[in-house]
Amino acid sequence: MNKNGAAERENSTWQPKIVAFLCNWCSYAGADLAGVSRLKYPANVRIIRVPCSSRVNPQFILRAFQRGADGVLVAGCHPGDCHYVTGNYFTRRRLMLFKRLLEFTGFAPERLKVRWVSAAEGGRFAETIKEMVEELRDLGPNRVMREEK
Amino acid sequence: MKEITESLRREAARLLNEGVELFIGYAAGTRPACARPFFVTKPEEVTGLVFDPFCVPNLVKYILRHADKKVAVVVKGCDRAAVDRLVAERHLDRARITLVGVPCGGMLARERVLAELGPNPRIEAVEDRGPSFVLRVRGEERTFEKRKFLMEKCLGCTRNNPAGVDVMVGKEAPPVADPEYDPLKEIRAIEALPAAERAAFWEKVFGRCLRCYACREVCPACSCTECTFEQAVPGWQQGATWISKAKSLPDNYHYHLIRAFHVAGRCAGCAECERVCPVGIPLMLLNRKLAADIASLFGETEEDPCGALCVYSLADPDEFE
Repeated sequence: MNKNGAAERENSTWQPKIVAFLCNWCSYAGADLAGVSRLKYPANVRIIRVPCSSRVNPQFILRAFQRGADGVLVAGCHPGDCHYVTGNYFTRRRLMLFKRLLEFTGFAPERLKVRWVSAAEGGRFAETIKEMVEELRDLGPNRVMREEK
Repeated sequence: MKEITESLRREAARLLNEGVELFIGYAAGTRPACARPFFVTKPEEVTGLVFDPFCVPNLVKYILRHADKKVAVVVKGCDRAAVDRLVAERHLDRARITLVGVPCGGMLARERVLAELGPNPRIEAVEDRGPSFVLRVRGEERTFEKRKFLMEKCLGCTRNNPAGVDVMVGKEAPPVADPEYDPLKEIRAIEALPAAERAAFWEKVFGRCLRCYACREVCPACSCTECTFEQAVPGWQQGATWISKAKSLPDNYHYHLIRAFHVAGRCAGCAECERVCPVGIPLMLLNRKLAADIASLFGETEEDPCGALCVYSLADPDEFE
């Protein structure tokens, strides 16, 4: 973490930004459930709805980092529960590998999180966001790929 | 190496007489200790063909430009896998190409040889003596031990005699692999670094990139007709393309991570990307790292023609809760 990062972290106004790619069939419904159940979770997350977690091209993740995200969440149905039967198995392979590549090139692995969240797990979604915000607060802002404006 | 070159010329002349329209091989390069791709269409031109330990370029991708002809191409053991890749992805028709396999005693690293011989040597003859190459320079014999002077990719090579070719030239070469060579040594060294130093290392390396795309152009696994990095969109839409044309570090990161990821599970390991890089980015570190991860996570047993990321297994480890 560079000096700037430390300074920003000290600055209490800094809030981590999270971009969450949520699968339409499970995780988006899970996030919806968290909402209608009035569960409290930090407002640091920008949700993007995707038809399936395997729709998330690794380029989406890098683009989010470039455009100022401090963390990216990809959430899909539990393996075995995919609406398209096999989509999340491909996600699992792809992102397992991609996460290792990111780590190898110097990203903090905590910045990319993959979670299986079903439509009934509103609480789990809220917990995941809370957890991520805490981790990202400790890490500070992402500087590795950010495009300076 | 004289015998291989001679029998290569003989085979080339025979194939051209038998209806092959284009023979792709190597000729001596314009610089010392260097070979260039050589395209032969007439039997009388075969005298230009050579084979020596400087014939590094992978010729397989050139077939794509001549997919409408009957083509014969010279392949070393490491280039052989690239043909399977292009055939599996239906870019090539295997029945239309003739593979001429050459036994390979390893390729010499040009810069290391030149450092030893001085800047402009006239190499008159090359001989493969098993554990070393003997180069004759101005009538004087100079020995180059393979363990010290081979290219990095050759040190761990176990496929120097290409399998499944149509014509084999010359005698089988003895194995070149150095038993003490560890292909993952550098990768483990980087993994062992603290995160900040690792980030600094890659920042320096990717910062050098000019985005000339030579690594993409030369790669036989990079064969999309339209590249995700160069979409044909009008200027006012350029803001929506994946990376800008301008050179910037975030875009360099994006390019290199995605390039490596696009060939993950499909990389044939010919190391051409690294060879053609004008600024010396160690691209094979990324490719080898991905290959090692695929092997350790998903096992090597799974053989899908389109690569490990086009299939899945219920038994894959589930590290995401």
